Amino acid sequence: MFEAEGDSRSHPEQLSRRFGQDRIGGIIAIGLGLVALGEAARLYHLRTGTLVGDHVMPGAIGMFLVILGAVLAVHAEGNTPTEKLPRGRTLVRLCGSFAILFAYWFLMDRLGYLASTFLVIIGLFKTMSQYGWLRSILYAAIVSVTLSYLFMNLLNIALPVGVIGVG
Amino acid sequence: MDTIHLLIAGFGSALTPTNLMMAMLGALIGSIAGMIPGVGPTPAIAILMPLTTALGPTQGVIMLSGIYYGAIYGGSTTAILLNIPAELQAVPVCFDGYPLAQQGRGGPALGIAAISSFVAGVMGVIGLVFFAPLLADQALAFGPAEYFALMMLTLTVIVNLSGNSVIKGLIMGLSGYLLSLVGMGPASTQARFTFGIEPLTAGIEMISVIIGLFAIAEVFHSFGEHESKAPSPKLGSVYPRLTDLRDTVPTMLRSGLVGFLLGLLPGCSPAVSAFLSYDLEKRIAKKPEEFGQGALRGVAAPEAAGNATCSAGFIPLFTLGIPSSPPLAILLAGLMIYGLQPGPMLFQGNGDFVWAVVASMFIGNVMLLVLHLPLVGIWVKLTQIPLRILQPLILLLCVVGVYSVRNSMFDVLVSFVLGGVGYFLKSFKWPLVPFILCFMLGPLTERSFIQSMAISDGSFSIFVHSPIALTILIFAAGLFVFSIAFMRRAHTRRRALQLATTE
Amino acid sequence: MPDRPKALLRDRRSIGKKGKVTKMIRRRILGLALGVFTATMGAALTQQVVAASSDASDYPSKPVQLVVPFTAGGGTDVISRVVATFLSQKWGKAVNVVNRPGAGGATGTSDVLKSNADGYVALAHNGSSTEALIAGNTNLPFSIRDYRFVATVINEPFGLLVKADSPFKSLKELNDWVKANPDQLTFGSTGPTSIQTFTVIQWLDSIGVDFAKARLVPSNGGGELLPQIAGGHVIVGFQDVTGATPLVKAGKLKLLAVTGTQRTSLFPDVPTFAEEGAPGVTTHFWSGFSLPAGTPDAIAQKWEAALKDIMNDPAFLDKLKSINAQGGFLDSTAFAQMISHDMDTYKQIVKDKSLIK
Repeated sequence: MFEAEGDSRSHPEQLSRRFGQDRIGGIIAIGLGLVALGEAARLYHLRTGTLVGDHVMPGAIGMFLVILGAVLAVHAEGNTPTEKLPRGRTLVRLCGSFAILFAYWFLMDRLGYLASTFLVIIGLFKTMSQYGWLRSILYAAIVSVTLSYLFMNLLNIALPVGVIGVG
Repeated sequence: MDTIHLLIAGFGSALTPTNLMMAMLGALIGSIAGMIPGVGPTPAIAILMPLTTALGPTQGVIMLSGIYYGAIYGGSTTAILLNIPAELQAVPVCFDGYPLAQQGRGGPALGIAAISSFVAGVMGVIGLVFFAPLLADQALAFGPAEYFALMMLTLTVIVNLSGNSVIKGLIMGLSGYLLSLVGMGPASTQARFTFGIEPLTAGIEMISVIIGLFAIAEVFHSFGEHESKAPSPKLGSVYPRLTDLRDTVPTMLRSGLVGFLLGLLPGCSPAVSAFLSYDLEKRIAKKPEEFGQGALRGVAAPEAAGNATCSAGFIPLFTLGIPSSPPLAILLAGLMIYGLQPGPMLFQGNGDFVWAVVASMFIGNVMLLVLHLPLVGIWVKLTQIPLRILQPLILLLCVVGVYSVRNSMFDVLVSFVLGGVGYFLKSFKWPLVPFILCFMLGPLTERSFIQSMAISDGSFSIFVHSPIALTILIFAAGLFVFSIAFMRRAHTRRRALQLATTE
Repeated sequence: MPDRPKALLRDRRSIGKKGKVTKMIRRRILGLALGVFTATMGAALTQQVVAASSDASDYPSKPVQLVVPFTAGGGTDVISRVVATFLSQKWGKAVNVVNRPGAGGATGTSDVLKSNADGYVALAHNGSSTEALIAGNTNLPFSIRDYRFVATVINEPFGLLVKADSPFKSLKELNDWVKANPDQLTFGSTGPTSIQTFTVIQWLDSIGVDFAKARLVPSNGGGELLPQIAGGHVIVGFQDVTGATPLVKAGKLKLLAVTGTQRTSLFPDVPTFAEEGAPGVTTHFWSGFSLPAGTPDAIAQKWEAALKDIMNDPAFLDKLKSINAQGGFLDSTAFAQMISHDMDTYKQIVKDKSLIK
C-alpha cells in the first residue's frame, strides 16, 4: 500500500528479504500494541470518567498499532531497497564502538568525566576512526582535558565526579 | 505603532555586543553543521542546545536561532559545490546549483543562494513582527478542544513526512506517541510503562530521543565512510552580476511569499516549500528548459522558500507552541527547557524577551549574508574535515549534551539505546521524522484530549460546539485524504516513469 | 582506509633524517600531552581530596549543588537561582542550581535526601513537592523524617482566579452560582491529590458543596492552566499569587479572593477567604530550602543564618519585587512546625474524601 513498487519487481531475491523485514516490523508493531493495551487495562480502574483517565491514550494507540501492524505484516509488499548492513571487520568495529558507548555510561559514574572520557576516546579513535595507538592516546588526552575544562569550568555543567573524586 | 516601538526596544536589547556575538557564533556554527552532510539543523540544534543552556535564556535562544538559520542555509553550499544536499530542502538546489558550479559559475550560484536566503528571511521576520501579536491574542481562544484539533491537523502531515510508506510512517508515529507516555500519567499520577524500572518514572527526556535517533544513529549510519573524496572545484567570483540579481529578485519574492504562507501551517517543512516553489517557478518561467541546466532562478526559488518557511515557522512556535518542523520542534524543546512556555503567555509574560529575539532574527539573517559571501572558500575546506575525527567528537558532544539537561546518566543511556534502535530503523528505511514528531506532540495531545473530556463531561460535543476546533478537524480530515490521494498519484506517476525508462 | 596514517608514516620515514626528527617531535608532543594530562588530573585530585570536611568553619570548601526538582523557569526555580547567586557571593564558592524534574518533584527530592548528608547537596522545594506530595502518595521513596528543614524565603497565599470578563464580580457571586450548579464547576489542578485540589476541597467544604460533583481538569501547571482560565475554557483555578500576577496585571484574569487570614501585599484590594466567611481555606504556597536529615548541625545552621541575612538584604528584596514574589521567612523551627501542621491538615483531607484509592 502506497509504496514504490517499481524496484521490488526487478530483484526477486531481495523481494523475499524485504517481505521478511516488513513482516517482522509488522509483528513488532503488533507486539507494542499489545503492551499498550495491557497498560491501558491496568490503569482502567483509576479513571474518573470513561474517557477521562490515563488509560485512554495507551488504549487508543495500542489498538491502532495492532491494526496497522497486522496490515503491514499481511500486506508486506517490499520497499525501496534497504541498505546492506555492514559485514566483517566493519561490523566488528561498529559493534565495538557501540559497546564502548555503553562502557562510557558504565564508567562515567565510577571514574568521573575526565578519566572515562579519556579511556573512551582512545577506544573510539581506535575503532571508529582507525587511528593507531599513538595518535589515539595523544588525541584522547588533548580532547578529554579540553572538553572537561570547557564543560566543567567554562560552562559550569556539573559532570559526574566518580569514586576517585576527579570530575 | 505599538509594534514598531516594541521592535525598536527589541533591537535595543538585541544590539548588545554579546548578543551580536551570539548570533554570529550561532550562524557560524549552524552553517558549519549544515554543510556537513547528514548533520542538518536538527542534529546541530540538538547537539548544541544543551551547551546553550549555560547561557541565559535570551542569549541561548538568540544563538539557537542563529544556528537554525545557519544550518538551514549551510546545506545549499555543499549542494551547489558537491551535488551533496546536506538536508532535504537543499535537494532542489542541487538541480541547478551543481550545473552552475560545473560551468564555473559556482560563485554567483552561492551568492544568489545567500541573497535569496536573506531576502526571504527578512520577509519572514517582518511577517512575524506584524502578524504575531494578532495571532497571540487570538491564541487565547485556543482551549483544550482547539489544541486537540490542531494536533490532529499536525498529525496529517505525517503522511507527507513518511517517505515511501505511509503505513510505516503511521506506525512510527504511534510508536513515538507510545514512548512519550512512559512516566507519570497526567490524570492519575500513576507511573505508566515503567515495568519496575525506577528511573523511568521520570519519563523519557526529549533530548535523549532527538540525539539518540538523529545524531547518534546518524553517526553510526555513516560508519566506515571516511573515504569520501571531495574535489574542490573552481569557484570564480562569488558576487553575482547585476543582471543576475535583476533576473532573480522576482523569484525570490514569489518563493518567499509561498514559503511564508506554507510556513504558517504547522507541519509544513521547508523541504516541501522548496520543492513546491521550484516547481512553481519552473511552470511560470518563460524558458522552463533552462531549469536543470543551470538557471539561477532554480537556485533562488528553493533557497528563498525554504528560509521563508523557517522564519514563518516561528509564528506558530511563539504564539501557539506548535513546531512546524523537526528543527523547530527541538527549538521548542529548548524554549521549554528554559521554562519559557510558548503560547499566548510568551508574548504577554516575556514580551521584552520575544522582541529581542525577533530583532536578533533580523540580525541573524544579516550575519548569514556577511558570513557567507566572503567566506565561501573556507566553507568548502570545512566540508572536507575527515569524518573519522568528526564522528567520535559528535558522540562526545552528544553525551554531555544529553546529560546536562537533567543531570541524569540514565538519559544518556536511553539515548544510546535509542541510537541503536535508530540505526536499525534507518537501515530498514523506517521514517524517523514521524516518530520524533509524535513523541513530541504526544503529551500535549493526550492532555488536550483528557482536558476536553473533563470539561465536557465525557461528550464529544465539545469539538462540535467550538467553531475553531470543528473547522480545523474538518480541514485536517480533508488534508489527510488529499495527501494520501496525492501520494498515490505521485507513486503511480513515478512507477510509470520507471517502467518507461527501463523499457 | 587504515592505510592512510601508515602511508603518512612511511612517507615520513622515507625522508630519512627528516623522518627521524619528525618522529622525535611527535614523541615529545605525546610526552608533553601526557604530562599536562597527569598534572591536571593530579591538581584536580588534590583539590577534591583536600575539600570535604564536616567542620563548618571552612564550609563550603567546594561548589555546592542546589537541586530544584522542577523544570527550569517555574517559581521555585527562579527564586532558587536568585538565592544561589546571593549565597555564592556570600560564601565565595559557587552554588550551582541543578534541575532534576520528574514525578511531581519526587525524583529530585529523593536524589537529595538519599545523598551524603555533608551539606554539599541541598534541596529547593515548595508545598507541592513536600507536604502535598507526601500526604497524597503512599509509595514515595522518602518521608518527612528524611528532611532537615532549614528555612523558607517565600510564603504567600493562593488566589482564586476566574477570567477577567467573567460574570462573577465577587467571591459571593461565585459561591452562589456554585451552590446552585455544582456539577457545572470545572477547575484546573495538577492532580487529584495536589495542593490545588486540597484548596478547592477546603473552599467547597466552606460553602457546603459536594466536592465529588465538581470536575477536575488535569493540567501541567500554571503555564497551561492560566491561559485556559483566561480563555474561558476552565471556570476556576487556584494559583500562587506570584504566578498569577502577569495575567492579572495584563487584564486577562480576575483575582476574587486569597487563601489565609491576611491580605497579600501584592494585591491589597483582594479580600481573604476568611473575610468572606470561609476561614477554613488555609492552604498557602511557600518556597524554601532543606538538607538531608543527618547533616551536621553546624552546616545546617550556617545555611539558616545565611538565608536570614539574605532576607534582610535590600538587594534581594528588590529582586523579589521584580519577580512579583512575596517574601516570608520561616526559620528552621517555624518551618518544621508549619510542615507538620500542613501534613495533618492534608492527611485529614485525603482521608475524608478518600482521595487515595
